[in-house]
Amino acid sequence: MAKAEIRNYIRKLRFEHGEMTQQELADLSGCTRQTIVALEHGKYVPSLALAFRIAKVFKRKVEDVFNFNE
Amino acid sequence: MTLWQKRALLSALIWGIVAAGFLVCFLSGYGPSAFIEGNPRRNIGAAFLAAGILSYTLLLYFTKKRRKARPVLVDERDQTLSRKASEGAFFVLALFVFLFSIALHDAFRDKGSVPIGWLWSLAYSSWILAYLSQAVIALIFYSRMSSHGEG
Repeated sequence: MAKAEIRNYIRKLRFEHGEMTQQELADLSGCTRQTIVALEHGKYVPSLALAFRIAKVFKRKVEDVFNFNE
Repeated sequence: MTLWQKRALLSALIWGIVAAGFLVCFLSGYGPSAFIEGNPRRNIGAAFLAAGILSYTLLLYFTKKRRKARPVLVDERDQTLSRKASEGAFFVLALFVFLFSIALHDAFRDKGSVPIGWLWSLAYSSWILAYLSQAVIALIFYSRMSSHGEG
């Protein structure tokens, strides 16, 4: 089975939302700033719950924030 | 650095000191065979272990997850890394106990019995190694996941 990859547009969306800081996004989505950093660098794949919370902060659908490449 | 990353660092420090103290106690004097009941070195080794357990318990208490903490201090990534580190530590411990037992068997096969001091060594060192390896593996995972901009 080919390795699946999940990409995200968190960094882009942060800047589109008034240059929101990583800490602000972390506070609003209920995680640590370090997790946001890891997500932006593609070093961590979030749980479904966190993915939904981040999407909710940006008022977007999950698939607008996270992209699944098989 | 997240709260649980600091916890892993302090845990590695605590168990590293305990491991060093225990090794000095165990290997000094008349060697492992004299590590028996009534020997002060065994009591000192036990004191190192007890101090480690107490320090680690206090560390767990002061770094426990607080649900309403703002900003969030511990999240799902910390819990995932901690769980993976525990799985790694389990493997390290299983391998250590297996190899230690085989080594004892090979070393004392001809004599027919193992000096009791070696069993104390196995008991103490397996405990210390379990917590030390958990902390070190967690730190490795954290360092792999860290990037520029993470503090």
